[in-house]
Amino acid sequence: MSVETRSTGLDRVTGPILNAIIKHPVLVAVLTWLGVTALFFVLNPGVMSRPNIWGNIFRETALMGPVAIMVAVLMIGGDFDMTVGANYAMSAMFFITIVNQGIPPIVAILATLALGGAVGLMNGALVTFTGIHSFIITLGGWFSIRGALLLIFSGSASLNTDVSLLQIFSYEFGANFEALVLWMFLILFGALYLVHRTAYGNHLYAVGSDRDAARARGIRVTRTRLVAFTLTGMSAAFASLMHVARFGTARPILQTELPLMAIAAAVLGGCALFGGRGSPNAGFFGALTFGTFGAGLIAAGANSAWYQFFVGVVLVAAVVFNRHINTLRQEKR
Amino acid sequence: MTRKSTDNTVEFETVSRRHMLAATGTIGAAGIAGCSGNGNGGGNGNGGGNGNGGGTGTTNQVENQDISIRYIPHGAPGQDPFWSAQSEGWEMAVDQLGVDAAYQGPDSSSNFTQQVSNVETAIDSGADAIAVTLPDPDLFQEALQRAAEEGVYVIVTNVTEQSFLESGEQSMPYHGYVGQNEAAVGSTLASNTLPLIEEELGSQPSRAVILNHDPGHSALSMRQDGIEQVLNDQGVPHDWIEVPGGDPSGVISRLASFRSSNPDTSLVFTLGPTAGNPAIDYITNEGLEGEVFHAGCDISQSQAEAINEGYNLAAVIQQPALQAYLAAHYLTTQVGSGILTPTHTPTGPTFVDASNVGAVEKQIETFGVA
Repeated sequence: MSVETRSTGLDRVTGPILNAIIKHPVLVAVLTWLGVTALFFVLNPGVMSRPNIWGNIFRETALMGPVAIMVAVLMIGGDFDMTVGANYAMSAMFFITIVNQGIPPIVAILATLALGGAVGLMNGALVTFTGIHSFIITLGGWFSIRGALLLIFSGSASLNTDVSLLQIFSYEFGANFEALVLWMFLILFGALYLVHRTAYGNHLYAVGSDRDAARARGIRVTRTRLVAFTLTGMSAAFASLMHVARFGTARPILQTELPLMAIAAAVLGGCALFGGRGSPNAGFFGALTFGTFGAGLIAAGANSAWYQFFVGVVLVAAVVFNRHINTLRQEKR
Repeated sequence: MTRKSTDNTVEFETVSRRHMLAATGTIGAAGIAGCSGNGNGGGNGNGGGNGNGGGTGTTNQVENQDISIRYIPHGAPGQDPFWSAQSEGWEMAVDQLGVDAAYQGPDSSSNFTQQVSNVETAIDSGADAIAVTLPDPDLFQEALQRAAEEGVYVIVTNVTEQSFLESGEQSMPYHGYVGQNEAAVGSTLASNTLPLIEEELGSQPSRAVILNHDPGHSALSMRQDGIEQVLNDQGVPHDWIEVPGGDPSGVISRLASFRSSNPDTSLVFTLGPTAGNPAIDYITNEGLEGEVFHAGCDISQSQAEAINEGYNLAAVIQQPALQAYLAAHYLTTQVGSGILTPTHTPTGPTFVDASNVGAVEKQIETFGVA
């Protein structure tokens, strides 16, 4: 079955769209997001056209977006990181604690990013050294970091003082649009450049598709994976800094669902579960779709329990569609 | 129900509005409006007449259709029986009032950041009035400030700032609190429970353990502090452990492993039914009745039965259904008629033991938790 050979009226419209999607897989993610947005516009046109609502959607997405973007990058290389939620909570608690003890904010920010990156690096080192699947290793990391946090902190922690430096994240341009949205786009563009414009990006796809073949071609597989793990850990720390900038407080059980939501976002956007396919765009649009859902349902006056239900339905629908597109793409080759 | 006198103009307007709602209801049916939890606009609209849901459609309700209220607490009814009682109390009031309403807490309990975000979205989507809980007050500063600026009426239920309870001092704008004074809960529970267990054992408990199902939740911390203070004063050795809220078997296994390393533990304190129910199950499953006793916050069916059986000593209750029920009424009457919400409506704490558990049985039957 080939797309071009069909000639019904409907196919004359869908044919070019399908072809475009086959060429640019990220369009599935974009269309999913547009579909969700359109649904809420139909349900609630007056509310969804307010800038404040969109400011809120982007502000929410910005806390998950950086992590989803880097988890997508990690998944291209064929790995998972289940520690991102615990890492996020730990980084936030760490930052608040050291700032409260008088460490200059700029030093604290760098130290927090280094800590998050170190957790990622340790994940990567354990995974590559033991050869055990990253899902298992980082699942263990998730529980042990959470446990350690609960041992150290019995409750929430808040910043004692106003840290003006955090304005670089929390500055509001109006209508709920805060600087952290710009930071998320900066991370997205950085990740897109890294994955699609550098030799490292090529290596990552090769490692994700077939590790042995990549090694045979002289690619430094371990180093490639370590870099992806470290960047993912740093993204969790970065997102946690934006969290603290926005809320001024954190607690040990923050973001328990983040690892699964980040993977779901990346898969929704077209990342393959076993590596070799996807784009940072996938994580971004997946996160944006979830963010739009969350706010859209509340704005429509719905019970928020519908959120998980719809996330599940849209996730499966998008994955089925993605697989269909992949089959078509392979037939075209 | 009394029928409020209305003039024809109002009646006429409401009829045409109802037709509009019927139209939007039809559009919504294609999507999700029909599953929006309240079903209010669509339901009444499609009926096209009063007396739709079992004769509850009075003129008051028709007027209330224009009032949009939201309940955005930190609890998810599916995870915690306490919040399912809250949700049922809310729905009961909403049905009586015929108001446009939704329960919009986070989809998993204690996701405070999602809770804040839902509050922000509700403000921006044009809600008239919102009831929230403040489990971590710092998080809500900005959102409640914005609500005040946008003219959205906000009240607090269930848990609020400590300073408000101590001296009435508010660090952010809201118009009243419906709930108990949390600072008194832990000490009320512990100081009344210790004499009861002494009666049973003939001496003070050799060791007590406190199960906290949500560390970092300010109200639970207050309860825990209150219990610990009494235990310290009375010289009862004690520990606290974190247990997974929403995972009953996890609660049981944590408690079981704690007791296997501390077999002298004879008193278990819980801070809510999500840990209290499994703790009761643990005692009966292991056949520890008469050896290990429980006392907790809020009361469920199995806890009430266990009080009658004797191994559950006591509970301090706050009537969750009433908190949500009153919240819906306070919000609606403020928006509709300008009635001011009382500064503090205490729904508890009430100490319940074998002598007075009968008084709350009906409430437990109706809502699951009192």
